[in-house]
Amino acid sequence: MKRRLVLLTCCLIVLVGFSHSQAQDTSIPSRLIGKWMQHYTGMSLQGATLNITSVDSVTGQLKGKWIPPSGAAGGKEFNVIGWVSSAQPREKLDNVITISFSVSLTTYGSITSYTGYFRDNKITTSWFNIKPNATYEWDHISTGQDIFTRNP
Amino acid sequence: MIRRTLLMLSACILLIGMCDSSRSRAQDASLQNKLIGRWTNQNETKGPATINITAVDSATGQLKGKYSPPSGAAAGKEFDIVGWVSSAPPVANRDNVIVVSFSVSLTTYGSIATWTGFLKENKIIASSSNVRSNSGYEWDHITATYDVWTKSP
Repeated sequence: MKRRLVLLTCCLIVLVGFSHSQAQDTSIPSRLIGKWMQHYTGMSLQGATLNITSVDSVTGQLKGKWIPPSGAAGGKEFNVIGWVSSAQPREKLDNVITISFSVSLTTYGSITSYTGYFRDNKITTSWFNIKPNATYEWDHISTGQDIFTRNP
Repeated sequence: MIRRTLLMLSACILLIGMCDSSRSRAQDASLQNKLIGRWTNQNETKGPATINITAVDSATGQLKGKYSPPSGAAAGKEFDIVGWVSSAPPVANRDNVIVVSFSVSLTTYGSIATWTGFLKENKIIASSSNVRSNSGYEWDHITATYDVWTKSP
């Protein structure tokens, strides 16, 4: 009898753990897939549109499209690739869903990468932009912060 | 006479176009040769992490490979990397480089690291940022530094 109870408890623990991890995997893609609007921090420039089209629930690999608002690449679509990840919350630590994505703006030969986190229905990122032609050797990489909000 | 001249002119334009196209293909091939292979992070504070760039798509510039952490709970494991390689023709009085960016999801920790920089003199010089799921403070999830990667012989 005792052995049965132990076995049943073990089964319940495994089932609860499995369903919890499954619930996490399915909820993260649904929170991220869709269109997002880029907002430059401290600037009134019009932002680009980020369309996250898929998030692999096993690997966390993210895919999507980037649509710049203006310039020579304005209105064109560029492929976006990246990652989404998470970890179990830990006591006394702040917990977020981590995200990173990048886009190769082939019109200019430049690449921009965004690394940050998803919280309160916003993606907060730090970005680096690398351009192939620069006036000085030390002037190829620019950096800043952006916030992405959901397109209504 | 006019028709023959026009025909000759069209053939010349076609030939020039083909030469340009084969040159760009050759550029792509050299770009792949320069990047594909094993690279070691020279940042002593982080330890010698390695990346193995296994493929660079010559049409899109998409990069694929593996990342091996130098130490910690994830040491000895391999993680997929994804990213981009791009370039532009040199411009007068400007410094010209091949640009590169790649990222890895370290699922052991729930963190993601990204490198964005350039290839020059057989080195990848890149700004790096790391975002972690759990942090002591709200403002402390993203860290940044720079790394130099050198190609293994």
